[in-house]
Amino acid sequence: MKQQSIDFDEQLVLHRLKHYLPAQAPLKDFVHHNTLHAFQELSFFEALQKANATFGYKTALSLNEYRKLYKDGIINTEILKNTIHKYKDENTFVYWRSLVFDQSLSNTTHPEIGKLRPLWKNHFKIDLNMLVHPKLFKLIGAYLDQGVSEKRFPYPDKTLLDAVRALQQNSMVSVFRSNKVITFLNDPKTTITSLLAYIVGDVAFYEQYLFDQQFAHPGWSGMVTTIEVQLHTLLDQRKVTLHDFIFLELLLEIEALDQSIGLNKLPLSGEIKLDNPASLFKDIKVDPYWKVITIWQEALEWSYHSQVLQGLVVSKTETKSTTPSFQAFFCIDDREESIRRHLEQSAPGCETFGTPGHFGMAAMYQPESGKFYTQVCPGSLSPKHLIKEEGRTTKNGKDIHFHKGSHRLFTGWLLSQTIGFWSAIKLFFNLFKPQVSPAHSSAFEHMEHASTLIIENKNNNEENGYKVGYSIEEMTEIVYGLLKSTGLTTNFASLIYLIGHGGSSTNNPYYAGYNCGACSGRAGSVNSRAVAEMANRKDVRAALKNKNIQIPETSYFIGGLHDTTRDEIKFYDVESLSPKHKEAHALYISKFEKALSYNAKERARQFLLINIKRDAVKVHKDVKNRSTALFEPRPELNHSNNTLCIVGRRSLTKNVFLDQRAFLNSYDYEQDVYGVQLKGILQAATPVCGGINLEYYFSRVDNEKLGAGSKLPHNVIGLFGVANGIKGDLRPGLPSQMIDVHAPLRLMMIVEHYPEIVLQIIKKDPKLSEWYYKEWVKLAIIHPKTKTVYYLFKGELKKMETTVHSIESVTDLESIFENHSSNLPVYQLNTL
Amino acid sequence: MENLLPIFLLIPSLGLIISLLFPERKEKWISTSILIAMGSYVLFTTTFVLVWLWKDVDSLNIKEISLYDYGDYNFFIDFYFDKVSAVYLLFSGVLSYLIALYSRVYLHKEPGYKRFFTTFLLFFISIQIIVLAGNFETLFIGWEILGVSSFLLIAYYRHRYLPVRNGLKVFSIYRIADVGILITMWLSHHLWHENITFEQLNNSQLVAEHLTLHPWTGIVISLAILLAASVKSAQFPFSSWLPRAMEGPTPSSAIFYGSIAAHIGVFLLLRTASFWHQIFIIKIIVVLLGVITAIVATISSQVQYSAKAQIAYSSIAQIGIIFIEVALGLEAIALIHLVSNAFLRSYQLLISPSMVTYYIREQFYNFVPYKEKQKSKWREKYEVTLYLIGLNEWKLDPFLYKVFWSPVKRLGKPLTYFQPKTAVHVSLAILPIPFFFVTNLISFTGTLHHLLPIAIAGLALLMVIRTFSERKNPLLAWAMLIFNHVWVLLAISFNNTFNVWDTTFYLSGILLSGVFGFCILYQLSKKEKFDLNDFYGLAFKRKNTAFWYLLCSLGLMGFPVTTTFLGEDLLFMHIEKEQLLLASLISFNFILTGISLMRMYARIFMGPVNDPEITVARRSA
Repeated sequence: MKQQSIDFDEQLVLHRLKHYLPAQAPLKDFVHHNTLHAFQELSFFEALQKANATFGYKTALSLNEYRKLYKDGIINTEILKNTIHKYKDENTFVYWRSLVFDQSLSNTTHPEIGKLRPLWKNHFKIDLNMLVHPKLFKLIGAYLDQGVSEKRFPYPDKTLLDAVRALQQNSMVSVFRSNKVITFLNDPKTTITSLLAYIVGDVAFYEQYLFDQQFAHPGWSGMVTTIEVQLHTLLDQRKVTLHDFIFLELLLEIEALDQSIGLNKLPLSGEIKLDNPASLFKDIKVDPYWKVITIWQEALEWSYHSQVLQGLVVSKTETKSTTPSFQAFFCIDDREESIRRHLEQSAPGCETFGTPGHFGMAAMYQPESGKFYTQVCPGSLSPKHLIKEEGRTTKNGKDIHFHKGSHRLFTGWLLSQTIGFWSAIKLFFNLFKPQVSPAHSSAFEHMEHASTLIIENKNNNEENGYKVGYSIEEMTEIVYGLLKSTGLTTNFASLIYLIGHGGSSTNNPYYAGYNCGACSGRAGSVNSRAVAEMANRKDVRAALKNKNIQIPETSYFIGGLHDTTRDEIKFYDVESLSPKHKEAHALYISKFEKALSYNAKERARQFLLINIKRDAVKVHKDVKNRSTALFEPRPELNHSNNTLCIVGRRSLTKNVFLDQRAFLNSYDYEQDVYGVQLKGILQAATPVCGGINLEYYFSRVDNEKLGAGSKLPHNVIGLFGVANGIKGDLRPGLPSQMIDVHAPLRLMMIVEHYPEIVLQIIKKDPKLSEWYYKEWVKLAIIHPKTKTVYYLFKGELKKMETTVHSIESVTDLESIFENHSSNLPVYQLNTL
Repeated sequence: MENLLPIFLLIPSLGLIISLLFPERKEKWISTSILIAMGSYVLFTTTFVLVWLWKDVDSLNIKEISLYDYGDYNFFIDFYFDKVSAVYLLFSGVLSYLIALYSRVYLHKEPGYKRFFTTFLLFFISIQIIVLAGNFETLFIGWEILGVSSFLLIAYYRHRYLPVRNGLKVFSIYRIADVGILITMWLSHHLWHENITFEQLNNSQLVAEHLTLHPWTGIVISLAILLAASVKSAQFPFSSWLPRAMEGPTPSSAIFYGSIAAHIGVFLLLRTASFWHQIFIIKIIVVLLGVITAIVATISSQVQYSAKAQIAYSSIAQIGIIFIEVALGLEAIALIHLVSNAFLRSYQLLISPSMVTYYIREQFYNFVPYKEKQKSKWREKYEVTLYLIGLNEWKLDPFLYKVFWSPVKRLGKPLTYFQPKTAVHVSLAILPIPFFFVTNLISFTGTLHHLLPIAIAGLALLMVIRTFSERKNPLLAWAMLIFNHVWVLLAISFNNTFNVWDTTFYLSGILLSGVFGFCILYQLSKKEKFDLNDFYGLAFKRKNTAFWYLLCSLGLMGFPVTTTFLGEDLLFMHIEKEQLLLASLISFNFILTGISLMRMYARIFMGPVNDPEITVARRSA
């Protein structure tokens, strides 16, 4: 068959490559996102199959794993039966049931990408990857390095290719030896296309060749792509592009070929008769294997989700009309679900709310003497304001073990003759009594407790294009948005807490992933403190009055930060409280303390190495120690098992036990009949929660290709990534220690509002429709009046009818925690 | 007091045996039994050393058991304890205890938890044997266990490609060190006409006497010791293996490659110092080697962009300095330096994941943007050159490959045309047998007497090389490795009278492990599809088969699990000290046999699993 000649569009192919490569930012800016974002225009299950057929990712649990879940009773028989009915085609139920249960189906597709590469080995008996990768990784690693090595890369201001040219020209040992390569390198007319023509020959294979080549090391290629797009993500910036990176790799390939088989064997298409080029990303037909996977996955998800929906509907909470003792806002984060539950239990008169942890403030932040700004709002927003910290009192701690002198010859000799004994003592103490050290990353270091923030803009002061602080109108907007979207517009308590969150860990390169996602992987302290201060201002309150929100003068907002790893809360600016407020605050602190200890105990049930059958305070102490222990790869379990996002009033969820699996966004449909606020909530919560959920899902089902594998052998590369060993590819995704208890269920967004309003919002927004109609996030709507539950299935709204479960009602959760380490069902909570 | 010496081995061995009794999922029991063993080890060692210091500071020596005694050949296990042993036992014990404590939590839920602790303890035991060894023979036992347990620890993540590849790489380089010891044993035997103990080496008069009689033998022995020491301590030009060994969980890299294993070369030098210190030229060579290594490794260390590579090279540089200290006779300083360096590098490796937090924080507050400085052309050239050389790690990795591997590959390639049928197999196996009788009947004289053993040894070597290019048939490769031993034996039989007991010792182990291994492979080939062209990761499903096959491989390579281990040593005794060529042919044969067997094990049982239900990492990861 004759190949048809196709033109090769270099830009287009580069663009496509960038689209499919992993998009994880450097470690310090670690934010969760949908791992298969490139496939998001397809429906979820189509995407699973296609990603598998194209890249060989394992995109769902294996059949055996599902069948085992069924055997263990995790997947409900009734629901599985219903699901088969929903998905069966012209074939009978019995046919599908036997496929689901008994037959040994297997997925026999061979991934399209990776078919060309083995030619080198099979035909020329060389392992081209092994010849090229070490050199390529070395050059790009050295170029991007942010400060592991003592000596900086010689040409950090040049582009990658120019830097390599400069190395080649100025060094007495050359990067390249092959004359052909040197000619290519110095010829301004050389392009990726001309290099491909030299190596591959037949233009029909160029794209496939590049995909094969780049997906042999997606970690590095993805990092290069991300840095190219987000230049500021490296503090010590580099002008790197995927184009230059591929260019360099092609040159290294020619060099390797020159030194092994000789260049007269090139191009490939001249030497070997190639088959037809693989058609990348072709449309695929659903085969029975994937349909069975779909059925199992749906049944797995519904086995839990239907319990939740049923629990929400039957739950009854009497609404109290009295003013609550205090009110507390937390982030929507699933880790805050439990602390709210415990707080409401220890202080029954209080009221809690959930809202994204940046509290509506989209800003950049600069700590005092910081040389850079960090974004403290969702990554999708582009802030125009800057919040600055003043009056920092402490200096960053130093640790001699990180001193670069230990790697020099003579200082190294001095240090290694002496401090080694000190190292042994330090190690000894860390093993028996872990304590905070400079190696520790604390949630509270983001902003110092004793410092102050510049929140108000004066004289239109600007800095590098950012407005320093906010005007009164802007502050009013932020506070209004916060109160209106959560439905707190009347009945203000005298103390209202805004609690952000962050995580603390030691010896953990993934520390940014433990912080608040709504603050771009930082702690939420700046936001909670700043917004509280805004809400306390007289001028802001006056402006709010004009917007029909009347905050009594006796009400006071307090900002705070919840350390989700250690279960500690610190409050800001409490010195300025009135004596009466001080007294009340002191009382509430004890309630918070109690809630924190019980929260720690609830979390500890999944930490198998802690003896949990003890008093909550004691368990809490062990939990705190985990965060400073060098040897603890799981200081907390983060978003493990997240699968719900509930937008509605607290009365809906207050008496339902959700096992730290739910993002909770407070919202009162009655105050937002047309869904104006709801639109904003869905636009913000869907990509953040969906991104977290899907990253957990994919890292869990394919921890080797879509996740980072075990973190135990990880080696820090250039401060921006991790690899196994010293010459491996970068490992994006989550390490196995972060997902090993995660149940891979998709997120279900549950909204309390009228179905037509919700659907209208979603349909009008193309991005939201993609998330929901393509089923990357599932949708359920609870009709606020009739309590009927609707859910979106294959683009249609359906009514949920059957009640499968009996929801158990419990009073004593603590003993359940003490006896179970696995996921718990939904319980109805009895308030005492 | 010397009667207590075996307890140093007994405690960890007991811990190992007890921990083996528990199933994999009983994490707590496994780690507890090992912690108790390590804890009591530390207690015992501390008490022992204190009592020993209090009583007198004389060295202790005890001859344990004689394994084989014939003529002037006596293979015996001997323990020796002095200041150097005390320091090594204490610091390795304390560090291992701390790391075991660390790993107990760190490895929680990791698949292979038990395997980790078993290998960990095996490694520790091997260190104890080396440190307590009273003669080269005993030391060699530990030396061999160290090599294999290192391989297993590096390739801990055995279903990823790079750890397995790097594990094999390190194992291959370690084999070079083994030959250093083999040659040392062989020549020492000829030098002293007995199996010398380290205690005797301290008798400087005795050493001086022998050295004046045979100056060259002394130099070659010293060089062989130095070879073994510099390989294990990653000295120039063997430095590149150490950073590549950092593939296992961080604590195992920290303890072994950051400290204990990397410093064992220094131990060998200290242990034999009383011998080679008497040869001036060797002292100069050691100093030079240390200087070169310190400079070379520092240049590499300063430009490494990955945490573990940086620490590995810094450690190597300091060991270079320790070599100098040892050569200059500054034993106390060397010991302090060594212990301190070991602790420091271990700790730095353990906290290396914190680098991101620490340095990013530092950068955030103290960043100085790059400014191009005016430099002279020559200065720029110098700096860039040094940078690239360091980044390339002096190209030591490809250099070693070229020197050691390329010849083997080049020789192996034409040999692939030799594709014998089964009949040829059998005849290859039987062929040597009549010759054994020939050796007894006819005694060759003259040139033939010299050439025949060399020719046969050469033939045996070719057979081993042939197994490297065998890609399809693992059974054939295995068979050839068995026959290889028979041919080696034949070569020696022609060389020197070899008594029946020697032969039995040598062959019984080979036959046992060879036949057993062959059966395992044969059975396996009925159930699974595999060859030697790719990795098959069969250990994933067949853990037990993998274990027994590994044991057979070890037996076949003369590892101290069968009598062949003794036989290997015996074999060398029948080579005259003038026959360097024959000795090198046979040592080379032993190196390659070991590597070939490990390579086979790795390809069949390790590497990515071929099963769509199981997710595997990319080769590059």
